[in-house]
Amino acid sequence: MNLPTQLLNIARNRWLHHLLFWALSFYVLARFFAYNDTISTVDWIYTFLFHLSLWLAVFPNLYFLIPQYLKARKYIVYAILLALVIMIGICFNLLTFNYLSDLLFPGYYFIDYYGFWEIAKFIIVYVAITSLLKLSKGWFKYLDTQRQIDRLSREKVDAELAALKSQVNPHFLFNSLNNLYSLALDQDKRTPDIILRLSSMMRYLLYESNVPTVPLGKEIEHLQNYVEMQRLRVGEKADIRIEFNGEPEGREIAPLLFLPLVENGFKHGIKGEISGAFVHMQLDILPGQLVFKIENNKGTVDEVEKGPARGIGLHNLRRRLELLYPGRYRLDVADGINTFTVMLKIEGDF
Amino acid sequence: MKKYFAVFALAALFFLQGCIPSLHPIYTADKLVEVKELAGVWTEKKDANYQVTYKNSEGKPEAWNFNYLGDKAYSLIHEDEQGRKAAFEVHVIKLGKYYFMDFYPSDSFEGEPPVVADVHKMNNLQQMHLLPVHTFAKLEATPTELKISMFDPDFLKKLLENQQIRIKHEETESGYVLTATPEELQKFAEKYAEVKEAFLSEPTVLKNKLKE
Repeated sequence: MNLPTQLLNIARNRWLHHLLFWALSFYVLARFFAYNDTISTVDWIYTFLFHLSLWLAVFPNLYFLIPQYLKARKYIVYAILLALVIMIGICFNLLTFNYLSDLLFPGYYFIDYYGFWEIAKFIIVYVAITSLLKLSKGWFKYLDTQRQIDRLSREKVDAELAALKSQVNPHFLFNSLNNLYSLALDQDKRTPDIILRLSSMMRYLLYESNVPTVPLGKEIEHLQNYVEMQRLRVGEKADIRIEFNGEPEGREIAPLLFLPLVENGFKHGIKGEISGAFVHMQLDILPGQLVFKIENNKGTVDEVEKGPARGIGLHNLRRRLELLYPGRYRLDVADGINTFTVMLKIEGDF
Repeated sequence: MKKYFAVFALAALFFLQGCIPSLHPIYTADKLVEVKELAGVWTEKKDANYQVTYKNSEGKPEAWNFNYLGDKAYSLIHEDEQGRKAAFEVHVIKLGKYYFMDFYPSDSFEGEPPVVADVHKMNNLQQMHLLPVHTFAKLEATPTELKISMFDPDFLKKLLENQQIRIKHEETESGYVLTATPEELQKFAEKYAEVKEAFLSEPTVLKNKLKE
């Protein structure tokens, strides 16, 4: 344990707080009680004896009444018991200076200088100050705990997002390799170009998207790459349209939000039925809002994914949106007879 | 009632030199009592057959002449063994089972001649520098005996010097003067009434009541 940590632990020590508080109390009260400029022996003894009754009221309140009744919101019981404790403190103060002082300090002469209500004022002030200190300390502890909860919560979200993103990349790679596999079987000449584009996209996925947000322009470029790669694959057989409206400059967005939708569009539309296949995409960049819409035909045969892997892209996307833009997104899926439409709307200043 | 501050000087010299002076009285209205046995002329038990009168001359026994003034107040004309007289206003209080007397210098009382005629000869400026004070004593009274126990100033002085007592006071060139409130004085007197060292070892015992 290093020195600052040790010092911090000492500073947090409850007994040290008590020691400092009561030392200050001793000095202030002794100064208050002293008849002359200097605090004499008899003043210190008197101050000590006076503190006995203060402790008798303060400590039961701090370590019994507040935890048992005030924190449990039993206010009336707390008030009654507190009044009783204060009363005991007052009586003990009178008892101290009428009898106990002669037993504890024979040879010293004291009387009860303060009356019932004056002693009550002293005790009430001490009970109030120490209660406020305890409650404020509890409040700071609560804030500290809250901060820890927030931090753990953030870490949990980050871990979850990382896990979801780590599912995105294999998913994309899996689809792309399937596409390449198809092209390779056909010995298509465009295969090297597609591999090159895939390489560029993998660079983005591996090195540039590992941040909370990316420039919207970068994300669009990545989508264009992906679409062009798909276009190369399907050629003129499919109607592929992509449209971007609005100015992406200066806007930021969580990476790879649209890719799962585009992947799904190509996978289930064009892959299923090349003839009459289409994928139409549109991204509207509006003030305080992003709207992405994708529509594709529904293929009759889905050759790539079956079983549990199916739909994992959409599910992951919805979970990511929930974590990244809670209450600020809308994901509508329209599964028609011949078409499949997804509209993603995200609100906020990106 | 007009008071001559000079009385204090004389009293301090001849009567109160063994007492603890206080700026405040020890009595409060609620604690005052009338002690019927007190009124009369008392003398010390030095010679049971010695007839002491109010007009005592030098060399005669000490005489204490108490008169009830009404309203739980007494006058006291004190005549010492040298025949010097001084007048006091006396109040008696009861604290628990104890009685305490409060002495306060006065000049004279109605119907009585001034007891210290020479006070008028005192320098005016000197008179301005004298301040009357109260002194206290414990009283035990029976129809045949008064026992007046004065507080021991040396005892108090020792406590104050050793920082063993917490009581409001001032230290002057003439010694300590108490400045505590009547209530505090009462509490001290009652609480420590049984402490023998707090009182002079030889109380004044007045046994001969010469006249009512």
